[in-house]
Amino acid sequence: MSLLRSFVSNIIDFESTPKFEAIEQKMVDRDRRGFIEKVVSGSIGGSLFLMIPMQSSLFAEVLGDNEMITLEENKNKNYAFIVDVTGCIGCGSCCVADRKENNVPDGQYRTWVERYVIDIYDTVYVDSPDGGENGYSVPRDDIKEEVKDAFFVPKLCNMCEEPSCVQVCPVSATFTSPDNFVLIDKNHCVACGYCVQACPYGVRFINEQTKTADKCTWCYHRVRKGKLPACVNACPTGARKFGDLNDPQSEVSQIMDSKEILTVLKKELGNEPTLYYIGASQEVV
Amino acid sequence: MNSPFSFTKRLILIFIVIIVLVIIGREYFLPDSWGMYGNYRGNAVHEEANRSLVYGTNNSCESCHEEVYDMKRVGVHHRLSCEICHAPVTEHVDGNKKIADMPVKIGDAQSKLCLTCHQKVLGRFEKFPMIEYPKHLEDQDVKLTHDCNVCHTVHAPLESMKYIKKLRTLKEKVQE
Repeated sequence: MSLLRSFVSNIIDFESTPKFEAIEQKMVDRDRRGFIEKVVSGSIGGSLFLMIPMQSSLFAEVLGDNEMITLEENKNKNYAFIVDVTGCIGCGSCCVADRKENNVPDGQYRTWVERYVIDIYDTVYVDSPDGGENGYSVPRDDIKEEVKDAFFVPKLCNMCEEPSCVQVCPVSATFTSPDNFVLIDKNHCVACGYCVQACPYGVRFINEQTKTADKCTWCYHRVRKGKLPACVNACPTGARKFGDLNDPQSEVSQIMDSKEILTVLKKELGNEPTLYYIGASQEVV
Repeated sequence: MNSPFSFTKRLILIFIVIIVLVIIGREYFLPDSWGMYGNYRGNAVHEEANRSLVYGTNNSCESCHEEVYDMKRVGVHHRLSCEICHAPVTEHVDGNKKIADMPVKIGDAQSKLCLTCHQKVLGRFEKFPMIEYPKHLEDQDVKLTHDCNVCHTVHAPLESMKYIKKLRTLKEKVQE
């Protein structure tokens, strides 16, 4: 027990944690008159909220209405999503996060993880039990030959620049927003299912609850609030990367500038996806 | 005899009626914000953007649980999102009030959670720390009923191992 205690006190330096009350008290003692004047004039009101540090910050964090990125600002950004196939461990955290964030009914998937297994005779086995949501705990016994390569491939909306789903929609319920996100107007969709058939990547489905077409939006509501998409936030190995290509400091633009070979899925169809894969072999593409 | 242009007058009248009907029909049937950004309902963009968040980020956890956050920061799990092992922050707090306890996984649930990432599975890359679950407990010569947390403090798994290794070498020396 004492071991644990010494371990805990080692890594948590109690002395260095800031004590807002103490700081505030010092300030009052030093210049009480000035302090009161400032409070009255309202210029110090904000710092009083530091006395209750959690509420104010958490309020902004979760509800975040005040830090919304405007549509005009968002237009100047060039978002890209990069999936590192070599880094995915197929734990399914992304799928779990996605389901909760977007309220996706059971049995339907906005994002899922596939496992590719290639044996020495180049036979490709692809499986995705429950969309990879519960991990890949059941071992595969049916592959008799020696396995040459095996990897996980997360799938999600490709956010095409020339989306075929938008082209076919008869009621303009799906569209490319001014900041280049392909979104669905749920109030306008008649669930005809044309877009479900048109999408070459199979990311669209008719949501059983809302009875409209549904798909991954790269968590548009989170991106507009300055947050990462839920799956990127959840990924334990950082295999999913999201960022602004116009910002040279962002991880995605650094990958773009590096020597990494990036591929898109089904390039020959001309959909111009903005979802890129690192290390995707020809079986995936 | 009728003038040779009387049929054009009728035709023009019909066209005007059609155009007026189309204009009235568009006003009546199209949603208000149609055409704001293109040939779709412009407010749909704002509705999608205004949807409330379910998951926060680790910063939301840090604001209250600084001690756990500090512990996690030094360990190999420093990159992990708190919410993937626990639950979304909005299931725990609403505005500035706690509404429910965060689930803390213990026993079998904990092992299962750890093993979703750390079980040796076909397809995971070699460098990732993986174990074969029941065998790992035998290999390390510990009780088979142990949770992962007994040896690896889950928030900083390898930090506690340093002390355990020291303790083990000490034990061996004493036995000698």
